[in-house]
Amino acid sequence: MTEALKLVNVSKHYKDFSLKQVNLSLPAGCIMGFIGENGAGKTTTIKLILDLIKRDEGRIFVLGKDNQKDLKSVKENIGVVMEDCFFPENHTASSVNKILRGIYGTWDVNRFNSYLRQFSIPADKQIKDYSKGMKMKLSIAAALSHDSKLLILDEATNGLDPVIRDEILDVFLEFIQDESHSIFISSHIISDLEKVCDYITFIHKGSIVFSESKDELLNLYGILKCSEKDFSRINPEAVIGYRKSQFGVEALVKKKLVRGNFVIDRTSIEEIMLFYTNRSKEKQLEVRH
Amino acid sequence: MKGLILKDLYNLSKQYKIVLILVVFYLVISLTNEDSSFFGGVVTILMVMQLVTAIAYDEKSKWDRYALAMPISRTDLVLSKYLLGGILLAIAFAANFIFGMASGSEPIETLIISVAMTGVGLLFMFLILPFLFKFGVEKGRYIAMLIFFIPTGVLVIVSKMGLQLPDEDFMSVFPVIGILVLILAGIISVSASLAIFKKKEV
Repeated sequence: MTEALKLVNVSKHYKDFSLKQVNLSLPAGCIMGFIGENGAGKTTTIKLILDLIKRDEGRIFVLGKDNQKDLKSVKENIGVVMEDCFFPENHTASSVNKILRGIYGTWDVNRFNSYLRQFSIPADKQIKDYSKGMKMKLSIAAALSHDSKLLILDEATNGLDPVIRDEILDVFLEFIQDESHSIFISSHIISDLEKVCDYITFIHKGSIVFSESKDELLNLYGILKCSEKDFSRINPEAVIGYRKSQFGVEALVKKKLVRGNFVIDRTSIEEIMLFYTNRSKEKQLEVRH
Repeated sequence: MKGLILKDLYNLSKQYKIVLILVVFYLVISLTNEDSSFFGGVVTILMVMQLVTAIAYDEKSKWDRYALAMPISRTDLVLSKYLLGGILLAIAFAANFIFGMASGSEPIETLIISVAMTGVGLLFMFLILPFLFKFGVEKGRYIAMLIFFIPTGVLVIVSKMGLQLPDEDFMSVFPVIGILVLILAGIISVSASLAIFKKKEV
């Protein structure tokens, strides 16, 4: 098996929102960051992967298995952390341990306990008295304490302070040391993803804008700074988006398509996402005028 | 399944003090009125209501969504709630029987009353569960109350009409009819709940 996760032409239509023809493929052994604005369709996509909601079109394969046919058997090998759903709040970490032992065939009591110690989660404190970070860490401990091969994380690092986020990213990097392990992580804290991801998939208004390796993206794109006059001479196809200011123009460009003697700076995933998002806003304005 | 039941029982165990106080309260009322069937009815309804509470806990924490990411199917989630209801009613049955015996009733009579109470409890559970799965606890609660009050209302009206009590012949086949009705209600209820939950977007 070479793909941990594969979506082929997946669509889902709501009254006011549609997920359109989503294609993505996460090779085993890699981390894919799933980025996009609030409401772009990240959580909808993850719910479709877990078959919590029914897709209208397309096919989804999780660890090589069709998610509507044999998901139950495959779920033994998935660890899921979602932002706002959780264990009922009058439970404690030790009751979670007992319950999950009755649910997962491969549940490892000792591993869970050692994660609790590592994350300094008290065993007998009720979940309702947890901080947000503790809740997330408990979820992550649970996701890692059975035979997980694929972690699916929906906004798992949101609302956490940088110290905890760093700690959690380290745990993910440790998990990925095993080559059969993979991670699919959605977030809008892009700096976190930039640290750990091999692939970046960007979703915007229900459509995938790109799904590429991170290094490829950073090689492909650059930030061009020049005067307005110079900017008008640049091949329009090279320009993804631009900002005009009193000092000139700042543009995200495809480096290969820019001819001439220009200085092109290194870009970041965050800038790529912002320029792409602004471009579609400008297009909307053009259509309206 | 074991994990699911364990989770629900653990949730409910946090409430046992309140339930215990209610039970003692009704026990006292029952003893002062010398009417053991009142206590039986209350305990049975209280236990079915615990089932509603368990579902309310799940909703609050979006447990269904979390659970379906584990090796648990939608069918497991639905059936676990029926099983939990069965366990709760078994507790109610035991409480009724013990109370009946302790209050000095005939063993056979006590057993019949306890079984009948449990039957009513099961019927009530079969009626409300599909609505709870469909509409959630918030709306489902009111539907549950309606379901509970309609038969009571009908009984009151019927008794006002001055009909005679059913004769002996009817009473002798009544248990058989009761069991058949229960089985039928159970089959319809479980299949309806499964169908509803299969389509539910969580």
